[in-house]
Parts: sequence; C-alpha cells; structure tokens
Amino acid sequence: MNRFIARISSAFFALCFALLCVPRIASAAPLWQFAGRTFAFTHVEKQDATLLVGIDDPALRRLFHALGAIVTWKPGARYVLVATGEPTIVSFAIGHRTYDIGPLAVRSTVAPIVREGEAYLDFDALARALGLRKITGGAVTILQPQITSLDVRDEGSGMRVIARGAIPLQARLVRESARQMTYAFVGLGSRLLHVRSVDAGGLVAVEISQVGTAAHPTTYITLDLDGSSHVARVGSLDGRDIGFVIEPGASAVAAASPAARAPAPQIARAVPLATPSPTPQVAVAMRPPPNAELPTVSPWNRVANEPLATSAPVAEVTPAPLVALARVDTIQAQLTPSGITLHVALTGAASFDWHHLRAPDNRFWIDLHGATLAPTAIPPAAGAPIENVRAHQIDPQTVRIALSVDGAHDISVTPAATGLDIAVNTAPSLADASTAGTGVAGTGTPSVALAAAAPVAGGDPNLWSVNPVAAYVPTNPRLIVIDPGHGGSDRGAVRHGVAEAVLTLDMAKRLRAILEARGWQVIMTRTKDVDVYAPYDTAEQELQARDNIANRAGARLLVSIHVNAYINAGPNGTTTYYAKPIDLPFARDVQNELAAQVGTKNDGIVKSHLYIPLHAFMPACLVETAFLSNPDDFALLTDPAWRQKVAVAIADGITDYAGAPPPAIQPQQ
Amino acid sequence: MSEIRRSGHRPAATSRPNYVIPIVVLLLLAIGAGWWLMRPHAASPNTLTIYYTEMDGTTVKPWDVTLRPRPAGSTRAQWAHDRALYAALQAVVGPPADIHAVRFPPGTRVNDVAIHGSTVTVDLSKEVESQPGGTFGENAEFKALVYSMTALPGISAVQITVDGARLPTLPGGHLELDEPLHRSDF
Repeated sequence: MNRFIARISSAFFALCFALLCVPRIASAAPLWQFAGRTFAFTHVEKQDATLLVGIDDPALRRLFHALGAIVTWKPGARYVLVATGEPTIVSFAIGHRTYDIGPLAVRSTVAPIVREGEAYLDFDALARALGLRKITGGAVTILQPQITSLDVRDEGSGMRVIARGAIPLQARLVRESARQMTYAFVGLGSRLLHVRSVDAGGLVAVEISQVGTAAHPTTYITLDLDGSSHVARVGSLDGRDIGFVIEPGASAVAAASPAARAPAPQIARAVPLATPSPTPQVAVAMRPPPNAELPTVSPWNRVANEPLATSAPVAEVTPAPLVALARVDTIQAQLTPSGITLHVALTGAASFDWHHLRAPDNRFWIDLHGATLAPTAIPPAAGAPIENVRAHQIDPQTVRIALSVDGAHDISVTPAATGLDIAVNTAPSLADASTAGTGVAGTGTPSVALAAAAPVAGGDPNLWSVNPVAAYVPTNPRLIVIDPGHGGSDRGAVRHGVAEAVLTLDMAKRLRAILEARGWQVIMTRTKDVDVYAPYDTAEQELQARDNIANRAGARLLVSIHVNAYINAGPNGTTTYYAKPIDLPFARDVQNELAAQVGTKNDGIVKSHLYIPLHAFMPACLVETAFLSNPDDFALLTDPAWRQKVAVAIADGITDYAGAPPPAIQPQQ
Repeated sequence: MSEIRRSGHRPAATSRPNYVIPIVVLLLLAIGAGWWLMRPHAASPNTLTIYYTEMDGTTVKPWDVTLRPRPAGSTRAQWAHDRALYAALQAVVGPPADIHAVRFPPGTRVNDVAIHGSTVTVDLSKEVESQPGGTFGENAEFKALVYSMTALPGISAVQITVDGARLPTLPGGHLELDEPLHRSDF
C-alpha cells in the first residue's frame, strides 16, 4: 500500500514538475527568420500547440510590410481581412476555422480569436496564405518566400510566361544560349512542378529548380526554346510579377541577350515635385480667395446693357463689381394635374444647381448661388407627393431648398423670369435630365438649347447628381478661357524630367494664338509656369481659382488642357473628359477633331466627376492630350510640331461647336 | 430513425399506446425543419458583385466574390457593414493578378466603411493620394469603387474620405470628391 502511495505521489510530483517546466520551455520565444532577419513574435497565444499571432504584433507588422500585405480589422469586427501583395484577399472570420484565400476555402487548425481587443490568427494558415514556406530546423524557423505561380499563355503573336511570388520578383539572366535562357530569382524558393512541357509558340518547356539553403534559396527558371524563337522582352506589369515574352524569329545569342539582360523599363511613379516657384507672382497671389465668390449674374435673367468683359491678361483681372445678392421672397406650392409645383419667387438673379438622389432615397435639393433667404420665404406645408420642404441659408450667399418626396418621382426645374418652378411629377414615366434645361426665359442661344436637350450619357436614368446649370448665357460670348493644367508648385505628371505643367502651358499658348487669329478673345488661367491661386495651395483652391476666372468673365467656353499618365507604359491615346450634360456636345466636337488630326489612339469622350468642368458654369471640357507614361505618346508630346497639331485640333473643335465668334461690341465710353 | 424506434420499443413498449412514437417522430421532424429554416444565412453563399475597370480606363467589368457565411449573432446592420467593408477592400485591391485592371496605388487601405441611409462612406488611407498624375487612373479607380459599392443592396451613393477627412479633391488631382459619387457621375 505504502509503495502504491509512493508511486502515486512521485507520479504526481513529476506531473507538477512537467506542468511547471513545459510552459517555461515553450515561452522561450521561438525565433523566426525572414529575408535574413531574425525576430520573435511577442503577441502570441497557444492553442493545442498551434501558434496564434496577434495582428498588432510589431514583428508581424514588419512582415506584412515587407510582403506588401495589408490587414483590416478593428475591435468588434467579425472579419480579419488580409490583402496580400498577390493581390488576393484572405478573409478570416473570428471563431470560424474555415477561412478564404480569394475563391479558395481552406481550414485552419484553430479559429481566430480575440484577446484584449486584438485579433489572433493561426500563424501557419497566415504564412501559407502569404506565400511563405515554413522550414523548421534548429532554433530558428525560416519563412521562405515562394514563387507562387507560373503562368504560360499563348498570345498569338508570341508566348508569355508570367511568374509571381510572395515578394516582388527580380530576374537575373545567368545563362543564355540559342535554346535555353536561365534566370535566377535570389531569395525565393519554389515548390512548383520542376518541368512543364509547353510545345507551343517556340517554347518547348519551362524548368524550375531550387538551389541554396533554406535561409538563402535561389530559384532558377529555364525557358527551353526550339531554336526558332527568342526571348524578346523581360518586364513587369505591376512591379511584383515578371513576364517573359517569347517571340518567333531565331536570333543569335548576342541579339537576344541585350534585350533580356537589360532591366525592364521601369517607369517610376510620379511624385509631384515640390519645386517652389522662383518668382512669386504677386498679382496672382493677391487674387481674392475662391471662397469670396462673387455672385454670378443670372444666366437666365441677365441685365441687357451689362458691358461685356474684355480679354484682360490673367494677372490683371480685377474683381468684377459687386452685384447685389438675389433674394428668395416666397416659396409656394400649387397642385397640378400631374403632381405638385413649387414656385420659388426671386428678386434679382442667381445661378443654381440641383441634385436628385434615386430611390429609395428620393431626396432632392437645389442650391441657389448668390441668393439670400427672405423671412417671408416660409416653405409651404407638405402634401403628397412631397413629404416636406425645407429652405436654409447654407452659407452667406447660398440658399438651399430641399424636398423629400414619397417615391421615385420625376422632378424638373424650370427657370422663369421671376424665379423658378420645381415640378414634382407623379406620373409613372421618368423623364431624363434634359427637362432641367427647358423653358428658359427666351435668352438661350442655340448651342445652349442643344446642350440642355442632350441626355445624360451612360448614366442611371433615375439619378442625376451633376450640376445642370440650366441655360447658361455667357456674358462675353466672344471669350474662350484656356486652362493649362497644373503649374508652379504642382508639376502634374512628370516622366524623364518632362513635366505636364510645362507641356500644357505650351499647348495652351499655341491654342491662344490660333483662337485669337480666328477672332476670339482668349483668357488663359495662367500664362507662366505658376500656381493660379498660390504656391503650395490645396488642389481645390487651385482648381476653383481656374473656374472662377472663367465664371467671373462670363466666358463662352472653358477648355482645360492636360497630359495623362499611368503607373505603367500600357495606356496611351487621347481622351476628352466632361462632367455636365451641357459639356457633352462640346467635348464630342473637340474629341472628334483630335481623333481626326493628331494621330494618337482615339480613347473617345469620357464622363467623369471632374472638378474643373463640374464647377464651370459654361460648357467645359478637359482634354488629356496623350500619355506621358507611354513611350510612343511621350515622343509625340515632346515634339513641338505635334503640340501645334493638338492646338489646331482643339481650335477646330471649338469652331465646330460654337461656329465663328460673334461680332465684337465696343464698350460704351 | 430506426434506432429511435428500436430503443423506444425496448423495455416498456407494451404499456405505451401506439401513437406516442409517431408523435415523437413528428416532433423531431418539426424541430429539425425549424432549425433548418432558421439557418439560411449560415448556409447561403454570400456573393458580392465587384467591378474593376479595364485598361481602357472606362469599361467596368463585374466579377463575383464570396464572403464567408455571416458569423452567428451578427445583426443585420453589422452584416451590411461587413459586406460593405469587404466589397470596398476587394474593389481597392482589384481582381486577381492575371486580370489587367486599373488599380489603386499600392498600399491603399480601406480604413473603414459606414452606411448612412443609401450613402456609404468609404474611408481610404492616404496612399490613395499617390496618383500617377493623370485623369486616367483617378477616373478608372473611383469608377470601379463606386460601381462596386452601389452594387450593394440599398446603396446609391459613395462618399470618399481620406484618413477620416472629407476632401474636395486629391492633391494635384482632377476628380471632385466633396459630394457623394454616383454611378451616373461616370
């Protein structure tokens, strides 16, 4: 009996000893190694011998950064979303063992947990999703980045082999012959198939082999060619992958190798150069800030004898005389056979824009710019289909009238001589945005009427959120404002030392000369390489300052000249962007002439929510002349003769749209 | 079921009336059916339609992704938030690498999303400001994001914020981001 008790007690003590010691041994933090650096995780949990690492662990954060991965999680959230550099989204659900790597559902050993406001993930699952192979040996566990995929495509003109990895790939040509090209990827391992036979497009097979140690692996990719083709290009589309393009035409090793050996033309990401303007333009900097917007003369209720603006140089533009603010006197509701109409009585003139959100929101609001709300303007009581009407002075010069309606009704705005009518039509058919521009008090010019009748292109017919400034009437119909994009502290796109700001100014000056020769008055928003508002201003200040110049001058048209760019050399061509319905016919005419005359790829007209055309009262467009990031377009952009062609094409587009300038009227002395 | 019947019949079967077993079976069936009907969310695939913009800069193409079944206990609002966050992240990350798409600047994160009525606010990290310099990328990226978010039920407008702040336009930028964006803006 005593012996039995002794055995039991010794076993008990042994167990206690083991229980006390094992956590100590386990807590001697295991070391990890990635890309030659050794580290330990500090935010760790253990469940059934499975390691969970907290997403806020500093070492894990550094690992994510090195792999270009991003983790999205907040305390209380039910999903931990990891966007890998691949790019793929890995979604872990707290408390669920199944997780997703893109479209693949995978099961982890333990489910993600939350401890003290931090999510902990099964590290094995995470490493696998991130393209890391775990190699345990000795005291340090190595995380070896893998070449995760090798894709072979027959592209008709040639074969393309694309490799992707856990980290951005860099290929080094190590062996070349007429039939074999071998590239080394240092620091990466691979568990892909060793040989893939292809037998198409001159490519016999792709061989993959791994050499080196677990900590310092190198993977070789060998392209076996049949002697009738060669590796024409090696490059990266997104900086992470490596693509080998195999094209027909057997070439001597000497001919093939320079192309392959030369690093792919990496186009650097554009970083706007913060070059201060050498000579601060006092006249420019002293211009009133955009917030001090002067009330604009009503487009539909213009004073007939108002003097026309003259084409003063930009730097000498003086603020227009103050015009008294319009006043919203009353808002009255009237039932009509088709619904209800609100009459907004206005003394003076104001421009307006309106927004109508589609179902189920159904909100509608109209902003009257350059207007105040009289105490007498009490919104009428609501009645179907209007749930309520509200009127506010949202800033010292803007009155907002907002309606909530009980369904997806058609709402039209009709300016009248004494104000404007907002008609809510309960008839089931939905008209398009063109109704906003009709019923003008007899002052619309033909082109404006055409613009107003143009439907919103490519949009949801239930939704209008553009600013359809109805029936814009230029106070100076002879004036065209040219906006050379960027300038001064904002260089725009920059490639190989060539800045967008310089190119746009050159093209704008050429356009000015042509338009003036054709009898137009021209104002340029800038005539030098300067900021229009102020150096190092915000983009909004800068863009609004340009719109202000055109809006205050009552210009007939505004054309903004830009140069496009992208992170890789792929995209090319010429595009004219527009924003408002009244911009559409103008943009179309400009783009048609550009497409016919400048010889770049015709990328057509594109509607976008762009600041410059959106905040211009007149028909406006933004011409992206060509891509600075594309070698062919780059050659054109840097050719003065081509820039002259662009200027002529834009001028012809203006003529197509607006005809000849109206005869000059001499201001009364 | 046969096991239940056998075990039910074993010792005291003779003393029980015949209709007890059918009632028990029907009760179990009803419980089973009720449980089955109560768990449709856990079983149904949660497919989201995400859009990317092709390399022409304007054509948007849909592709479907699936979010893991909704974790038990999450409310309708939480689930709507989770779906919107996933959709926003997926739209920003873009389609698989073998699809050529105009992509947001690398490193752009979705900090969070918030749904207010029919407008979803997508808060992006400041990496979105490192644009390559033209209208092309900005237009294509935000078009894809707006199309993806407005594919969610009940969402018609997308308000963009950067690190929690509304901004009228990106630095050196072209697009107006002050007001919510709609599909019709593109």
